[in-house]
Amino acid sequence: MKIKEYSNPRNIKDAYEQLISREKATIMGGGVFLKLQRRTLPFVIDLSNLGLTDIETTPTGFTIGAMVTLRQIETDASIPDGLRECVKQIAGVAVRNMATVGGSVMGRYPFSDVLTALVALNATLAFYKKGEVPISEFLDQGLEKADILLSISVPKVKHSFFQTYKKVYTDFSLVNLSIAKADTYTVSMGATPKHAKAITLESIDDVRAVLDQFDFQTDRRASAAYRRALAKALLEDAVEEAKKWKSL
Amino acid sequence: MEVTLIINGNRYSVSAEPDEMLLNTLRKLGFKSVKKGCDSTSCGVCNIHVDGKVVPSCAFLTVRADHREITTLEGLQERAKEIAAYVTAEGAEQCGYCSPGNLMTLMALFNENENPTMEEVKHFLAGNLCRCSGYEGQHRGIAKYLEVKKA
Repeated sequence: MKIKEYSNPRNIKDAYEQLISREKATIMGGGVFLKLQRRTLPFVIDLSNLGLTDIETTPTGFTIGAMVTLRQIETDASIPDGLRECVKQIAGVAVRNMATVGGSVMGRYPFSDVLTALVALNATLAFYKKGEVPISEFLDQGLEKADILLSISVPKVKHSFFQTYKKVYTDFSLVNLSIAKADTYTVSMGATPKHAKAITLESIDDVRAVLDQFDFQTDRRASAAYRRALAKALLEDAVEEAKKWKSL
Repeated sequence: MEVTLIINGNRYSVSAEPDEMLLNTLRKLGFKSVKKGCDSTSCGVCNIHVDGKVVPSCAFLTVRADHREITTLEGLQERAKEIAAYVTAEGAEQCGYCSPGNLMTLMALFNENENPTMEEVKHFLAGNLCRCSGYEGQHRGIAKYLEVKKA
């Protein structure tokens, strides 16, 4: 990554004005993934001075600031299991101290563990100009106009679960799965290798019927058949876990 | 760009390019404990503390660190020596290149939790690679250090 010009605005209004007035402006969250890219960035807007670093509990759930780090998610007991579990195997602690939830969302990374968990939790994104956008809509369509993500709202759930297959600890997922239970079950799978997608079901007991709703494909990391076999195992684990929820 | 860095308690005024990383700035200033490994946040040998939290210095922009507290191994030598003695006694200090990053990561864990379990230690060190694959010896040394400290 090369940067021609760097800006570290002190308030969101300035950040947004720079974003729409400067040509080819790039927003920097944690800056980890940007660092790994072989790109020259003409103008970088660093959000690290805007706050956006709090996790707040609300009457209907909780809100995560866009600059909350993955490590904050990991260590905050008020975060549901499904989301807290998913960050534990993402790189090392040092990287998780830098990488942000906002960065994971805005990158729309298909391999993302965070997105799979947030999609299962039916999260809603809050943008500075556009306002609220459901996460699945954002993943499918992106944004028409440049905007700044402020926070992510997650409604309360009764239970949640996350599981992934990685070749080694800290690697990218070959496939990942998250399930959240409110009144119904929301099952989300990512790294299929497409980005996370969710379905809603009354029951997850029929593993085969659930798997048939997802489109597994082949890439250089894994074949479609292998991904489906892994997903089946993950889902069977989830069904076992869900049995415990019923008896609680 | 002009930046003020507070490194191990001392103030430094430096001029940095917009894409310069702390790894390079710190080494230029003489903090040679900060090693360059993969330069892609995968290995942990360049780990330092910024405001008490362990981060990979290869991905931390120097301009972003303006007026923030940076700690390198040079600033934590006493504690580091104490831990390293146990690791060395287990024959786990081989080429030594990963040691500064390992120690900085470990000392960040101690900032959060003075008496971690070995499970927690391993989880914390998962992002620190050792090219001599001396992990078992490192873990034995750290376990002994924790035992002695507890006693």
